[in-house]
Amino acid sequence: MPNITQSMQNLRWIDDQSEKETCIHSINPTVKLIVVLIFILLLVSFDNYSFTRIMPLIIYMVVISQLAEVSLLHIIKLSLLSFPLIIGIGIFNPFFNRETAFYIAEIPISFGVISFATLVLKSLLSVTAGLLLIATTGINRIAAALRTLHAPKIFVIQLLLTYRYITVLMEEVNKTLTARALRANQNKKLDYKSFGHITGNILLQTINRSSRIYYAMKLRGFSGDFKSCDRENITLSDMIYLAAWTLFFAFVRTTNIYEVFGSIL
Amino acid sequence: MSHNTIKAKNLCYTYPDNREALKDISFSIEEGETVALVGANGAGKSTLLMQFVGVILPSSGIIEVGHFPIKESTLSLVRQKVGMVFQDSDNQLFMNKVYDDVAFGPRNYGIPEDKIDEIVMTSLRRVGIEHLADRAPYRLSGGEKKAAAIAAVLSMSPDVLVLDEPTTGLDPKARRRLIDTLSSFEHTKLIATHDMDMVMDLCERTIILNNGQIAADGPTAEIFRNKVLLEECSLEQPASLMSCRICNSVRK
Repeated sequence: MPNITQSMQNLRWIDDQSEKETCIHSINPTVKLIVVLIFILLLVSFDNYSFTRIMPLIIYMVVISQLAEVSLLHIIKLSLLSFPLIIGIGIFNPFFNRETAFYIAEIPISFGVISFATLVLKSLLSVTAGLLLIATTGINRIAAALRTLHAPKIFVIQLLLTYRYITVLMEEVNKTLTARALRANQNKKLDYKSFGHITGNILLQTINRSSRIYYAMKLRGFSGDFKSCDRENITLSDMIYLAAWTLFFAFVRTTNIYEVFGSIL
Repeated sequence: MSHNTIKAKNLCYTYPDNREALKDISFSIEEGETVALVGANGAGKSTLLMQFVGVILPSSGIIEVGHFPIKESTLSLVRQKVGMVFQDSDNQLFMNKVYDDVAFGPRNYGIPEDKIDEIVMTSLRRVGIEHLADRAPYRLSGGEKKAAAIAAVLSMSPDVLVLDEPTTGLDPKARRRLIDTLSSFEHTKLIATHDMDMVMDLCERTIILNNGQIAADGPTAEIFRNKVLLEECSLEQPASLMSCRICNSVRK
């Protein structure tokens, strides 16, 4: 239960962060979304062995989190939730590709290890960028930005409803597991016999609760589109924000920063 | 012709499992009336309320809101005229901010954005929570949530208010505040509740549902004096009509 309660608090923390009034929060959501999309495309464009070339992109995270007054450490902690998935994808790289790339204090580093480390860094940076976007913009404004970029309506609604219903699902899971724990005596682990009953029960309760929320929405005229998603005008500061980050990303992509610094020094 | 009336004529509803929830319900509520719908658990109160906003449609019989029969083609119109406040406010407040929740209905009905602010703030002011506009609904107390849910309904300027157990889960002060707020509304009101004392305070008329049928329909004071009827319907007199448990004096 503490995990679920913690997850709910984390979601609410992200929502709370998005209510702040900083220079980053005031940037047009469409512009911020475009910057994040460019950032992710840039990450994808690097090959599997570009670990050091990707490192300077951490500057983006630091600058945004500092200006937006959002704890980068907390965002990174939340990003670590995706860690098992990333490890699952890349764990075999060090075993398949054992060719030595270089040595660090006589320890051979294989191309497999580099590609695994690059995958981890790329994934964490992508997830962190996404979370930072939500924490500095809010899910409603992101949805509005997606509609501005002509993302399909059904996709945007799915995104918004999933974001809403995750908390509904978590609340139901929390209640059911608490009820079980109070009568489980010493059996802390969920045995397979009761697993089916409990998951089925949670599913039915969630459907029930979701139906009531849906009725509440329908009764107030919901017809499949969140009308609260107003489009915001693009200002000069938005253009500067977009131009500055695009230039920085282009610089990172085209220039090996370490070589530049090396030649200067 | 009044638009603030609601009528049920020979209304029947059977659940998909063939259980009869409502049997031949007929009544009419006139403009400005505040009517209580009381009955034991499972008597059919919530099912009946859901019929008035078209969430479920009757198996047979007719429901009219402001002389418009409820059917698929009139649902949008009826839902604008009838504001329903759910028992559990958490189900009704689904946006990130109270302001956005209250604005949800008017925005869906195409009210221009420059008028939304005035509508939202007026609705919040009517229930006394304009200071909570920017708060997240999950951070509100039970009473504040209920007030926000009512404001969300008021923002659609309904003619009729339908409330499902509005005082459930509220502390005495929040309950009293809610009763005072509701009594200040001029809307036609149908209130399903187990709070008999609230009924005494708010409703001049009471309908008792028992096993899906109307067991009584009449002036509240008259119905609540009929102990035999109340017991038959698994109900109890309001505390304000019972004798005092300390001095045993009978209240008038």
